[in-house]
Amino acid sequence: MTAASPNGVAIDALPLIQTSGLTKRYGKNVLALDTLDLLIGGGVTGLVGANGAGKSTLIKILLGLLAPTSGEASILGFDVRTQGTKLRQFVGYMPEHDCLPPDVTATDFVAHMAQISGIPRAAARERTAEVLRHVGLFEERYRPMGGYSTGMKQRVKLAQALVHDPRLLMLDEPTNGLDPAGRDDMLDLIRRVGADFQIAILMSSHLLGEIERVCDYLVVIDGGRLVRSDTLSSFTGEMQVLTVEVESRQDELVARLQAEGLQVAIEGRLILIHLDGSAPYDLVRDAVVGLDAGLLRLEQRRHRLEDLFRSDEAEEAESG
Amino acid sequence: MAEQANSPTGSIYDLGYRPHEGERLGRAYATFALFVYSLRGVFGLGRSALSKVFSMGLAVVALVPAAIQLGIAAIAPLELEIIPPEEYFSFVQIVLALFCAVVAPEIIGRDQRNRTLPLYFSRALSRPDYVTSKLGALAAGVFIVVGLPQVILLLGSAVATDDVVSYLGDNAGDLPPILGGSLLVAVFFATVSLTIASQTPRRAFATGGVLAYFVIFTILGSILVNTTSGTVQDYSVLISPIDVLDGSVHWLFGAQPPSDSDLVHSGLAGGVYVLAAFAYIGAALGLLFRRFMRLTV
Repeated sequence: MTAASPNGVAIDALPLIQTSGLTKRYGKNVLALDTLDLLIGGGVTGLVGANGAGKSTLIKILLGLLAPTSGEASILGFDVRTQGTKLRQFVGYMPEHDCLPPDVTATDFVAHMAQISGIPRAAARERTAEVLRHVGLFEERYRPMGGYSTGMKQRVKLAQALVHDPRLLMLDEPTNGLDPAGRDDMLDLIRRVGADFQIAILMSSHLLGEIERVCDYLVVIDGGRLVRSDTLSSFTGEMQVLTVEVESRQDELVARLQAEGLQVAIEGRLILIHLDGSAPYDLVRDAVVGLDAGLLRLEQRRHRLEDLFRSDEAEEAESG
Repeated sequence: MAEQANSPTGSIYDLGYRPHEGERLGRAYATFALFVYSLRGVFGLGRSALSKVFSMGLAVVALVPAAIQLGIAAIAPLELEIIPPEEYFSFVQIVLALFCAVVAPEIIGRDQRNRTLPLYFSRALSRPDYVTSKLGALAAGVFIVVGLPQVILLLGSAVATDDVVSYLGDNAGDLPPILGGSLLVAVFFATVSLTIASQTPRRAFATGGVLAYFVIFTILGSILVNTTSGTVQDYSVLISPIDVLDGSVHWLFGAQPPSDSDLVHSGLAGGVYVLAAFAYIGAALGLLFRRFMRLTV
């Protein structure tokens, strides 16, 4: 994408979102963000963390809805504190909660919101019709929104965030309250916005499965601190495992594999061998044959992101 | 083709996503757009029929004194002035209080109630811009409700006379105080009502609060004026928002209040009422902006 940013700099050359030492304290005891340093570029970025990790706080600070206690944050090179009204012309926000007046039609509401983002009236009307079609809202758009289903409301919420053609879209738990089918539709839509519309997205979720489906990059925060920020593939690449199931002598096999220097875990009847880029198939075969353990299963499996976090939690539970 | 027509999910030409190539007009435009949208909302335009009924209905009621005066003028052969221009406000003050009690919670409370505020505050305007738009919209609405009947009355009275031109020439001096008085009344009602209404997202409480303020303090002022004496009596009239405005309007017209008015009991100079009105407006503005700067969304 060659679009110039509002600052006149080529958009790819800029970090989309940059924070340094960003801290948010609620009262005296609650530290929502703790000296967070972030650098987020284009594409679809997932913001992951448990409830209360600071995801919403970060998004709200970036939007200027909350003032940080200390530290800096900028979007597209604009300071979020001092240049908010300018930069927010180029930002779309879909909040987690309900935010639609029930007595207004989707068409009127979305067109109004476009104007509040600085889009002239005629263009606002035109873009409203288009964006509502893109999110899949047709005849219903002329009816008051009070009668909409949750799925329809979520679509309007996405539409109002998109209508002014933002450079960056921030979605706070966009699938909240949706049934599985609605969830799939919403994720497909988000995927399309990122890929086809070429709009950068920062999407928070506590459901890793969702993040995995739509995101290119992943930012993991916990307790207001950055745990890790990387491409999705680098996260999943580390999670290749080899699953082994044997008829008997499982413990002995595990001991022997560990002696060979492999990272091994037990999950019920399964032995999980962490693949660190290596391919220890021969080792496993020889060990099983040597013990005459009776091989039932030998398969490579890609761990899902959830497993990564689950094992962390399990470890914490054990040590705690 | 036939097959396509029969298929249950007809396909629509997807033109693909088109970026916005045109202008982005920024903060001032966004603020103005919100003002226009809110002003429409004051009269229930673009909303349900029910929300039109009250605001439009009350605006029509505010026209009734002018209509009666003009009706009589049309029938009666002689020039009979039932409502002197400086008294029009006192005929419609209760209508204005009701109007604000109904409309202010709609203007300022609905975005809190529907949690739409984060959508506004994450766009091209600032919090003070938001408040300014809302305030401007309600003030413009009240200005129309209180000012329009007076202008109609002035023009209608001219038409009812034999000599339109000389009537207008004689009474043109009324126009500046009509507009100035209406503006002061409108800004006062708008700021005070919005300040009260913005304290709660609950419509019923907000409406009750606005109405209670205008009724209770007006009665309280009246009681104090009629039961005290000396300096206390002089200044207690300023407790009543209606008397403050009534005194200001009379001063603007250079007219004496009627002999039964509380304004007469208190011997304050007319300019003091205007100063008091500004003080109320200033205090309300401070509270209103503070409320929105502190509001967590």
